Amino acid sequence: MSKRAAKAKKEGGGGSLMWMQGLACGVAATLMPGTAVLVAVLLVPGLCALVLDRQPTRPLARCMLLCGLAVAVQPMRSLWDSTQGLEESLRLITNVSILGYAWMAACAGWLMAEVIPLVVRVVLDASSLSHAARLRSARERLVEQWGTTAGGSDPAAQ
Amino acid sequence: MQGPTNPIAGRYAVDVAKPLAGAGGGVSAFSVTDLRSSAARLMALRVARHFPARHRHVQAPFFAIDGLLCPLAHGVGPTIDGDAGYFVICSAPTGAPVSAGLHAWSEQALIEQVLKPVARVLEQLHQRGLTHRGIRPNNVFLPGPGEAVVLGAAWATPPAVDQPALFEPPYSAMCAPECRGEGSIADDVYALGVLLLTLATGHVPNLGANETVSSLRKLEMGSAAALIGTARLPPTVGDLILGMLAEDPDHRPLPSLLLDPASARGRKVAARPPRRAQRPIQVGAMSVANARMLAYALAMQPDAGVHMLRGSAITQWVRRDIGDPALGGRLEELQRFRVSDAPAEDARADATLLMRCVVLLDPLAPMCWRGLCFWLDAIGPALAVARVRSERTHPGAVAPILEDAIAADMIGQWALQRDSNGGSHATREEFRLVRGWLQKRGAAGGPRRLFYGLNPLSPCDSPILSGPWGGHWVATMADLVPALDAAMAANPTGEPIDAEILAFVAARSDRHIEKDINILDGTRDAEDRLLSVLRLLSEFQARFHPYPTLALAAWTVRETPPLLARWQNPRRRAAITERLRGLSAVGILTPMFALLQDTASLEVDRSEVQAVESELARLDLALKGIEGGSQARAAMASRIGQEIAAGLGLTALALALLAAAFG
Repeated sequence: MSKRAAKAKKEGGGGSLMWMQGLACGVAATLMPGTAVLVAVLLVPGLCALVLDRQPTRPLARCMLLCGLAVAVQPMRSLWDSTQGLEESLRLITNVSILGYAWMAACAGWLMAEVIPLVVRVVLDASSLSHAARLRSARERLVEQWGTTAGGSDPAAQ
Repeated sequence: MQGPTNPIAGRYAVDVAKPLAGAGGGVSAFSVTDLRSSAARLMALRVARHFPARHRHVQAPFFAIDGLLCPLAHGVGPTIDGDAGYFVICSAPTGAPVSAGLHAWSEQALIEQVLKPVARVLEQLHQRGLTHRGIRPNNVFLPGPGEAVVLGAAWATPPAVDQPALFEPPYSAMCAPECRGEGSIADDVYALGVLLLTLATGHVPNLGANETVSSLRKLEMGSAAALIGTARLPPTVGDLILGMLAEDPDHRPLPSLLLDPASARGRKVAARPPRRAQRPIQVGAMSVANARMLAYALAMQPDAGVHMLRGSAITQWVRRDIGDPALGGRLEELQRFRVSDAPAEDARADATLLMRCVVLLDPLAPMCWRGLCFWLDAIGPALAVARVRSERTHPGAVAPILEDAIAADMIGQWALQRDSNGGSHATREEFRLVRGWLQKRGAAGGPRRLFYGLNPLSPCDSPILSGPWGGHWVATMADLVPALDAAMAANPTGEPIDAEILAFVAARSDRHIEKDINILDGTRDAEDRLLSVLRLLSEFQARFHPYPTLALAAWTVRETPPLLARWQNPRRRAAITERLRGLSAVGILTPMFALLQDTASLEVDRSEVQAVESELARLDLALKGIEGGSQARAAMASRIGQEIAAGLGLTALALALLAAAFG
């Protein structure tokens, strides 16, 4: 299969998924407009990240949306326990603390998605350095025992 | 190894401070003390380095002959003037030589005191297959008035080397002294005849100003006529001398016959007198009158001889003036063969022509090759004497001429032409072996090998053994190892083996060692060469001198670092070095060589090195992977981090849902 054909198939697949998502959103907005508006507003940072994140698996948007959703559960329950109307939804949206928590949770998600890879990298590098030190030490022991004729120069030292 | 403290054969102590004037018949003689017995009066004859002693006589089983100063032992003695001394021990004469106070002897005295005793000695030598070749007035001793003379020693020099030409038959006198060879017992009879003539007349015959003149006179008139001349001799002795001075050795009486002078006197051999030419012919500076004189002139003046042979003057002279058309025809045949066989400028073909013509003209003559006359068994001594002169590049140098004669198989051709009855076969076979030595490549062959092969008693001439730190007389393999040890002790930085020593060893040892020499010779790699030298030295020691050689062992330790470097395991190398040092203190080379040649240990070391190398390669690869894996690690860290972050988000969502459901 040529690259162009694969790209077309990928774009075609992505386009239909986008259409399906758009349809689902439209149905949700039609059937549950209050809930849809509440969720949409609370998850604005995550949705923005979903648009802006160019990584294939969109890890940043995924983490922000999950964190935002975790905070949006309680307002949504409040909405469902009440009239489930648009007015109640707007009241909840205009509640600064609810909106603030939701967006701060999205920020926390973004922070986690940025910091945790760095921490993991530091851990991995430290582990590699430790392993390299052990190998170099073993090599030096061999060279010390057999002299320089037995082996070549130390590649790690170059 | 040598010096006044080491008596020869364990019993003869030579005192070089006490020379015995005249006792050696021209050879330096010294007083000797027999440490086991004081009954016999002994002397030591000094052997000069390049005048080899007569090995057949001194190495023969001990023989004692009354009336002869027989050799008793030989060996290295004290040094003289800084040079190693080698001596032949024999009985010392008890009287003065007959040359001292020379006077005319009576016939009775000549027969009873000289002829019979000397003939008895010669007879016993003849039975042993030996000759004396030293019968001359200064080597025949008279113990006392009326007593039988005693023949002096003639063992410490090449045969007949001190004989005046007068006492030698013409075919021997025409050779240089060292080229005369062992000869035959008939040559001793000839010398005895001249001695009798000298004692009968009371003076040494005078045939001319020099040896050439005397030889030409002998050839012209016959030895007897030339030597006796107008002298009046007692009748019996006169008849005996006539027979003893016969030109053909087969016509001379055997020593056993001389024991009965009456019978010997009655024995008349009708020898055909030489055909004298009606007019002489001039060959170079010599005027010749018969075929034998012509052969002599051709041999002595090869350039003029070849020039004349290529013309027709000689053949015409032989045909017309000598009156021998058969001989002339054969000479002409040789000339035709020369013309058709090789181009005109071929010098070897000219020399071959001259050699063949000399054989034709004088069947008794020695081999004549490029101006050098020699008997085949004198090639060894001739090469030895030529070494003194050290002038191989000189046009008349002896060694290249002899080597050329051997290499070109001229000796075989000469023997074939001379002995028409097939007696040349043994000579040709013998010289095939000698030619093999000369033609062999490498240190085990060539002129050096030829020299040592033909001179079994000649010492090794290596500068290692005769350097400024003191000369060593090394004539046998048993002498070599201690001499090398002493040389290395005196000069620790030197090399223990050179080409001269290798040639000496090849000549004195067997094929097994010769094989090792060939290996050494073909080795160019420094380590293999060193190993080959050690192999040779350890073999020498094990086989010929199984005693400690500390200096050689120390040299081995000093030279072995390149060999030790073959072991790459430092601990093993250190252990081997330590063991080597321990063995060097004992001074036995064989275990040292075995240690350095331990292939099993080297194999183990090699396999260990391979294991270490593969382990190092693995470590290097892993280190390289770590160094080059930074990006992969970053990608992995990003992936894992994002998954962890997503996991945490999902957990928070799950907890929120649970809280909403059950809260």
